[in-house]
Amino acid sequence: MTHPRRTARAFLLASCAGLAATAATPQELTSSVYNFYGVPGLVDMPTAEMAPDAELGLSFNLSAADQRRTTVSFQLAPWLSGSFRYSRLPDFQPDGSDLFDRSFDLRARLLREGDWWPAVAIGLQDFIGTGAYSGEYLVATKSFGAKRQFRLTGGVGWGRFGTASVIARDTATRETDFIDTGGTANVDQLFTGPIGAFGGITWQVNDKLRFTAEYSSDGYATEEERGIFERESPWNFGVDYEISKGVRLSAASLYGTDVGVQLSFTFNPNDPPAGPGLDQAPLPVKSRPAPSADQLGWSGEWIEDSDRVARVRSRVTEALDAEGITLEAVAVTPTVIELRIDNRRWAAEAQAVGRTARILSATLPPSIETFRIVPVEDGVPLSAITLKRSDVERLEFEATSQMLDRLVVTGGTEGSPAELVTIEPYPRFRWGISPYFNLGFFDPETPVRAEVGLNLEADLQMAPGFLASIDIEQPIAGNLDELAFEANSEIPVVRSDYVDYIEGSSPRLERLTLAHYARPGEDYFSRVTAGYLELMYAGVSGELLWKPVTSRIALGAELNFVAKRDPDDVFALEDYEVFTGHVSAYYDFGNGYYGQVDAGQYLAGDLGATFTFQRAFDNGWRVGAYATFTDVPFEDFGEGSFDKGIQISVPVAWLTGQPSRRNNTTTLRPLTRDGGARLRVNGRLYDRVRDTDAQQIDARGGRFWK
Amino acid sequence: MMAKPKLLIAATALVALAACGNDPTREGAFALAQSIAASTVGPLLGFGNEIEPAVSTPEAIAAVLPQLPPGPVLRIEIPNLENSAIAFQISTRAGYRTFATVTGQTVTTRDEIVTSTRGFAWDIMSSATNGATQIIRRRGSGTVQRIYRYLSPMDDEFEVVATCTISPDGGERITLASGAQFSTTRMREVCQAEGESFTNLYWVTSGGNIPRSHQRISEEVGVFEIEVIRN
Repeated sequence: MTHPRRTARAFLLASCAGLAATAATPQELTSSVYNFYGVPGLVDMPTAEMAPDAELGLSFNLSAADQRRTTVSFQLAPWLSGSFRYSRLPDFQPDGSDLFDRSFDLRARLLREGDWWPAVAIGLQDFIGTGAYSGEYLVATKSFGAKRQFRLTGGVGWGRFGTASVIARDTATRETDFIDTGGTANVDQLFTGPIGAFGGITWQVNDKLRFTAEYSSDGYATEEERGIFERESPWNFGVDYEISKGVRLSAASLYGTDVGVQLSFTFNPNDPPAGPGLDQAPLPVKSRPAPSADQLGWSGEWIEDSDRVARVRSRVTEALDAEGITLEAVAVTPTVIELRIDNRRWAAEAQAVGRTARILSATLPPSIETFRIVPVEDGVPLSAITLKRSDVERLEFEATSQMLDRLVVTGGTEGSPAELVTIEPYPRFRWGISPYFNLGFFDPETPVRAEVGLNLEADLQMAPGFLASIDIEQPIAGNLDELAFEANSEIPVVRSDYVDYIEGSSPRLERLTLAHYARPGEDYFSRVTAGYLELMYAGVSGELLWKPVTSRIALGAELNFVAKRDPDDVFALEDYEVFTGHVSAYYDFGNGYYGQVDAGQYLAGDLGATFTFQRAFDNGWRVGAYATFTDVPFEDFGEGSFDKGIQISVPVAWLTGQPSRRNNTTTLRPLTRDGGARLRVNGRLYDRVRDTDAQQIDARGGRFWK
Repeated sequence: MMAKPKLLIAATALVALAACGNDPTREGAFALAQSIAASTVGPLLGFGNEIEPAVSTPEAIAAVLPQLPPGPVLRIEIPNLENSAIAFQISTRAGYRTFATVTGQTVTTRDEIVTSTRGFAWDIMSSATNGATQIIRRRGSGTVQRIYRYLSPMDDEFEVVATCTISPDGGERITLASGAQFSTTRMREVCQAEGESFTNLYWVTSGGNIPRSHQRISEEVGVFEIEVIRN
């Protein structure tokens, strides 16, 4: 038996995809004004506009029927965006209780706007949530005016978008029963049921102000049925004002009976507040004297003079230290120098290498022509960058690409040209106190929770690769510990009681570990960590990673044996013990897109896999989404069905303009659950290795002379 | 629940703390706290960027010069950044001279034409004057293609090619902030580059020196108004 509806749908999708492939006008129709569902649009209805590529939008609102929606949207590619929304729908459930709803959207631009045709987009709203906001649409937007300031939108929609102004009624009704636990894709419902028509117009008066009129096809049917909302008119009118760069306030009259307000924020990795950074100027390159002016230096015989060699070493050490670069060891011959450097300041390794080269040009005897610079992390060499001193002298004032063409990047495990002399003796002690900010999103009551405090971290490096670390947080103020989710899982409570561990204002021991990092072979990296691994678990963790310097693929394995810590007694352990571990595959798709699959056993003893997709930007921004599926039945998992979330990592240097290797990472996850929970061990290998290889030096090479 | 003001006080306390520790990886975190505080609680409490009074009178300049290392000195006004600085030569090499400010910025010139900057965020990474210098110094006329290289937010270096028309714009007797006087020809260089245009000005002496110039750095940094106060 054929299914005409599905055939029609398949055809629709196929033909639209075809259009997308053939459309060929250059300009994308973009907007950074977000509607009350947190996507580019009118008031409640979407448009075919996309946000500018890579834009991250965060919106908080109070909308029709007192619903509160918090949405994060990310423009994954110029034609594709994804959104994650957490909402509270008061009195929405059949028993009159509130519904807390998570929803995911995907939007794709099918056709770019042309001179004579509109931009066309397709959207799936709430396609794996509980279904309260589920709806699909096909929408077209055409701009008019010299600055494209008038934009006319028309669209058709199913589901939520087909509950009013119905233009076509399917014989079959849409299956609208909520899927109790959410979290499974409601594929069977897509593009089924009545079809509603919506539209509207926007007028961008100036850079800051926009007016909107909208005809909505959302009938708020369930809300009216429950007697919690009256919809008297399909017309909504809105105004948006950009109060400061990237911050917008919106207000709208809704359905003739209500008003809504929204605050939205937009960020774009392509638009750093301090541009390429306020880094202090580097030292100028120095030319070598003529051979006649320094015969001893050019002869190389200075190597016999141990005092002179020691003097040179200490000058290099001091100059590097001023640049936040620790010289760990050095090997020197009359013509070649190898330096093992621990770069503590520069996020772009190329910049650390450039600054090191400048210092070497100004400090070394003239006979040394080859600089071999080996970045090291926790005693483990990660790669080697070889450059010629005469190129450094010749190319300081030229296009950076000329210098980059002459760099040779290798694996870093080649033998040293001479015996390595350790500069910084072991043990090495490093410590620091710095402020921290922790954010919690998607609490039903408060859209954003935060905690500020002071963080003490100290490391004792006992020998190359051997590290003892401690990390203590002292909360000062915040409301993060009020996040409340009951642990109602049917499986062991391994993560959902997280709040027990952050309650109160006493200092928290985040970590107290002994770790060993090594590079057992050219393409192999290893880690063993033991102790109090994270706030909730203590035990032993071992990891091995295979990653050739120039390979797109990497493979890893991690095995941990851990016991749960006692939230009330800093060093005590609870009875719960578990083996957890994963085998991992990492793939670099190019253009900054990365994929990762981890398969194994999770903290609750459940088996499964985590799929991660990430877009990484050369300047250090990373935006990723992950989903974990385990053998915990969806019924036992509880609300949310499977663990999923979005991770946003912003370089501190991007935010402040000051050099820093740190990133501020925030995970937006709808619920902290016990299924699919992973150990949060520090120093996982892939991120450490990925940052210092040939690709990264190439990607951020523009900073060599910065 | 802790009250809002407590958060503000906490944030302020964090700012008051000096960076503490022996590990440069932490520097950025303090900068972050400071920038957040500067934009939120800072203004309420009267924090702000304290800009040193400009060294702009002959007396002030005469007082500053002996404190600097021997060698050429520039005075630079940057109207866009509402800032001014004294920069002294720290390097001369292959025809390029590099001047540094005490706050860690540098300007590199070749024959008094700026070729690169550092420490101003939107710096000129390097540039090619492609004959502009010769025309300016001999106070002639002509059109050249200058190349400016900048760093993108994604750390790629990109080139801006500017078509610049140089011509004399009359004689002018100038008095520098140091009090020194020169009779010069004002040279005007009008540049067109990818949808924007900018103008550089050079006051050139009969010997081909340029005691004063206004040179565009980048859209964000704007113009450097440079005076040579010691040669």
